[in-house]
Amino acid sequence: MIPTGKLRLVVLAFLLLAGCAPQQAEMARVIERPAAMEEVRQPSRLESADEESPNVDMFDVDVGRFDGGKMWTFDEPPVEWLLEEYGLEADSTWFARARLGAVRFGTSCSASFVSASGLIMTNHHCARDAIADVTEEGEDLLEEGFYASDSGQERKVEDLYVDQLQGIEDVTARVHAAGRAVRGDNERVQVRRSKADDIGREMMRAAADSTLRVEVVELFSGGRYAAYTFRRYNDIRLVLAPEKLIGYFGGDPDNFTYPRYAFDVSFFRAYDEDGNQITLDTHYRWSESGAQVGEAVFVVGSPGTTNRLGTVAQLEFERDYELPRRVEALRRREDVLRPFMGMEAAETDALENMYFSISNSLKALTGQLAGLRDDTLMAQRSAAEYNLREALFMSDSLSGLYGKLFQDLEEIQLSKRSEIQRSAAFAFFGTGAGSHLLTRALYAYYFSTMKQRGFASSEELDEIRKEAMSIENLPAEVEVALVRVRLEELQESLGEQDPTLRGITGGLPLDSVAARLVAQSALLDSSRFAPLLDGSYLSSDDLSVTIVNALAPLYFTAQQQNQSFANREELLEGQLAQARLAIYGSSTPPDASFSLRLADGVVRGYPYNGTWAPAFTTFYGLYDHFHAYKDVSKEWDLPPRWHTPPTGLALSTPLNLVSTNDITGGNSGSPLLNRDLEIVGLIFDGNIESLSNVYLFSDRVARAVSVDSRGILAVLRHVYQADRLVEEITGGT
Amino acid sequence: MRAGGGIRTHTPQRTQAPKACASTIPPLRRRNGQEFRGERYCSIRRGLALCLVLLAGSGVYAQPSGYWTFEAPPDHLSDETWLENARLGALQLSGCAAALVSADGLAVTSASCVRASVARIMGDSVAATGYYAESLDREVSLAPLMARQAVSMVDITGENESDFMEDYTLEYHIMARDDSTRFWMYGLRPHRDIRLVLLPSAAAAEFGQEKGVFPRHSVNFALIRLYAPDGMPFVTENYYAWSDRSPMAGEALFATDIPRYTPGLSAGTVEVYTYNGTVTPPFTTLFGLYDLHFAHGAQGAWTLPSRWLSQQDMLELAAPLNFAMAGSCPQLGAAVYSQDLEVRGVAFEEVNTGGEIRCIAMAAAGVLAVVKGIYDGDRIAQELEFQQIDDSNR
Repeated sequence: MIPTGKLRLVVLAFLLLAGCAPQQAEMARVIERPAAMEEVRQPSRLESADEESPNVDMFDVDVGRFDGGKMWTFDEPPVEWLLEEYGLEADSTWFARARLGAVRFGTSCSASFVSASGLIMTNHHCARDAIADVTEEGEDLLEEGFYASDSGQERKVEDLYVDQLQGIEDVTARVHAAGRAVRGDNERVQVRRSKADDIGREMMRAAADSTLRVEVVELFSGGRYAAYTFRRYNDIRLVLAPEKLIGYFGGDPDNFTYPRYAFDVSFFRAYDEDGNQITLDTHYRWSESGAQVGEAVFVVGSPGTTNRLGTVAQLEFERDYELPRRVEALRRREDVLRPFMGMEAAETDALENMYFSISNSLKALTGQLAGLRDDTLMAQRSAAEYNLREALFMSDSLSGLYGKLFQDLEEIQLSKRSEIQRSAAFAFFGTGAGSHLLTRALYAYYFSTMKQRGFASSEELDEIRKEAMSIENLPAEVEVALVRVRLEELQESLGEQDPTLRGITGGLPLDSVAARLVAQSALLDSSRFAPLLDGSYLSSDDLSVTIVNALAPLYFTAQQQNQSFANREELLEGQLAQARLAIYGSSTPPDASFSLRLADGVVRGYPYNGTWAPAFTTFYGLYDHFHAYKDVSKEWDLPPRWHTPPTGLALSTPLNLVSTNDITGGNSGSPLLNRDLEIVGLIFDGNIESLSNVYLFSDRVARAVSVDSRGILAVLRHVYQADRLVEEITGGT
Repeated sequence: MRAGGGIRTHTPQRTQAPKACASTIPPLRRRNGQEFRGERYCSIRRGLALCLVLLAGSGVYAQPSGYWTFEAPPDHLSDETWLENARLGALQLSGCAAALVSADGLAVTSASCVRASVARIMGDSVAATGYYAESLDREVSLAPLMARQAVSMVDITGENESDFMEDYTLEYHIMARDDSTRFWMYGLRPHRDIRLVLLPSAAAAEFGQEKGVFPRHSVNFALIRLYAPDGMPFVTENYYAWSDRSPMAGEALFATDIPRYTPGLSAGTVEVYTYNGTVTPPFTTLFGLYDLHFAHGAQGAWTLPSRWLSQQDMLELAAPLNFAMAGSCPQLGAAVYSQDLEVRGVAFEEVNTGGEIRCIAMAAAGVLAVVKGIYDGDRIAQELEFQQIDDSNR
């Protein structure tokens, strides 16, 4: 799976209470707040952003044209680059076809139209919620898979939609004009955003078409605004989903890695608003011959965001404080959980899921941290920043506007450093990566407070309650260990004599405090939790109330403080993006923004593990792994119908492939296209080396991982006997 | 999945039991009904992390790894019969090691230990494409290649060594130990008639031209046979049991080699370790060999010989191919065997991953699968399974 930068765990919308906008990205930040730990590294270079790295001199490295990435927008398509690099004469028709075949799938994935009848292809891991949604009593479609052998069997997924980008209009001037009317940076951002929303609404009204939606997209951190008009398809039905075992073959251990052998594929179909079959003018055709090594390939999708444009000071904070603390907090929890792995208990599944989620997050974070600790990467970023500062300095007007920018960003890092100790006490607080008992307490506090004060609508309250009740039970002894970790972090962060802490512990040893809480609180068990949640939790005598009453205000204060840093930083990042735009223009693409992008690349293997990772893997490799790991793990197990290679399936058929395209979280489900815009693959992950691409794009060893179009076809034919789909995608209907 | 669920147990019935050496040591066959299962503590249900946790954290299962002489074995390997068996199955093969695996002198070693001899005697072309002797009389002499077997060891401290040199056919070597306060004498039996039974093609044995890499897919083994001076297969009671059991993560394995004329005993465990963001498998399989062949587009160093493509349907593709063990390698070609002296593989290369040394071995089960599937080598497959030449093949 492509890293989305957050745990796949229970998330709390606590920012609402803290008076902050409930934005997805900010929530992601909240759940990954750093943990308390010793200062692992002295902040040696915070004071001087352009000082060189100790081992690799920034003057020795080249600033690459594409250090910032290759996620091209459709507003400014890379016509010249494609011609220069691939001899590809991509005209406006080419780009229009590339754009119209792609759709945004729900809120977090990408997908594509692969037939004129609205057949949609995306990843299995993007479809998990949808599959669960259409599962009926007595079925387990996630485990067993699903195939609608005729269109009547296709199952509509509640609340699922796909958005197809119809048109783009530059509205920068209008948005900026509105912003100029106000003073104050914060206010200006607010005004711009609300103006952008207004423009969107206005355009939607003007369009007078209920299937159209307009979204004003912020590019270059506010340097540009573009109105994207999407056609929304609201009637999306599940057509085919493989079993989870083959969709997520290799499980968490193989996540973010290559060589890989996963069939991370699912099919849906879009119907019109009256539930009738649609006929599309544009869709991607299927390449039955697939791609070859060295061939140019293109990814069209909606990548989320990267961290490639921040300053060196920001990266150093991330490297020296933020990431090490997150890693430490997760590692503690992993250590605490490890002895319980394998215990016989009813809650084993929840426990294992938690453990694997934590290990997987650790894998992603340590990969990113390794990138930041790579002196060459840092030197490249330093050199790029040096060049930018030089260029700004040379221009009187620009140095006047942006002269203080770098210093301001450094100062924020210093402020964050002073605050990190406090916020570290709440690492992963309110998420699944900690005591579920305490998470329930926080939910209950939030729910009760919102209810009492009338801050939330009844739908919102229902949603919160639903989430609270979905928190899984953990064995009591695991809870004790996890509560203890939290108390330990509080103690390290606040100090032993802190009155809040003493209020919670009463001066008793942390072990006994944790044990007593777990022994006495009804929040250990969801069935005992329910009546408390629906009753008056805060006035109950449950032991958790005292604790959450003490912690919640501290938590919200820390959140508010962090949010204000984040707001200020975001504002400065916007200015930075504008400075960059002023110097370099839009010759390099802006950072990803959940909007539609095109990324070019080449099918190519890479050196790994002392040898060469081939560009393709085959079904032989799938069976190699199935047999090889059989005795040690269930992660490489196969669904029963796969156990013996199905008749007709040539095992030499390519299954997965790698290419140098620039992708990130949000690209899951993107089509991989050849120069004729035919499907040659389906993006589903990046390799372990691509984790550091979040800071600097490199295609030396970082690769995007796809399911091969030939493998997809072979599986549809020989494993699922999905003849009607095969005919549909190869027949061009 | 193993083809037959472990090897069939069979006790060779010999009318004339020749005494190959002075000692009377029971043959190293697996005794009926005593299936050693190793320490299997990684349950399928619990998943890999659990397995790794146990591998990393539990002292209970931790097997000591290291290298010892037979004079001073570690405490947990003090059974004298076991030690003798462990010593007598092993051969020295000019700079390499080999191991006896049948009562009729069949021995397994690494392909690279015989390829030069094969090239000299049979030509470069045969050395590259490989060779299989379809019958006993087509086994080709590799002279002057020699093998030696450490058939006797005596503590001669304070004794006159010549009193112990009873057998003029042996080569005797005296080792001074403990600052020359103790002396040991080894009697090595030279075997001068070594014949080639099976050598896989260089393309398969050095598949991918990879060095120091795991996961690995190398068909790196060779089969030779020791012949007695009378020109008949060397008949012996001292051979390791053969098995097509898969190596298991955490399983303790041993190896005997005879560098500088005194045998050494080493131990290590089959390892599963983190690499490339994931974990290595306990072993690779023949499926993986074909995966790489096709993944690389049947080009370059990962190209399988045509025989492998035409014989593919005959091959047990799920058979284990290579596996990694903790610690340094014994000599190239040494058999790695289980606690009950069952050959699990043949050591062929060391891997250094960030300072962690591991030894890669060709799996015994893979040898059997290749003999059967690629070479239609029924006579050798039978000999490996029953540990003697079937009468129909004599």
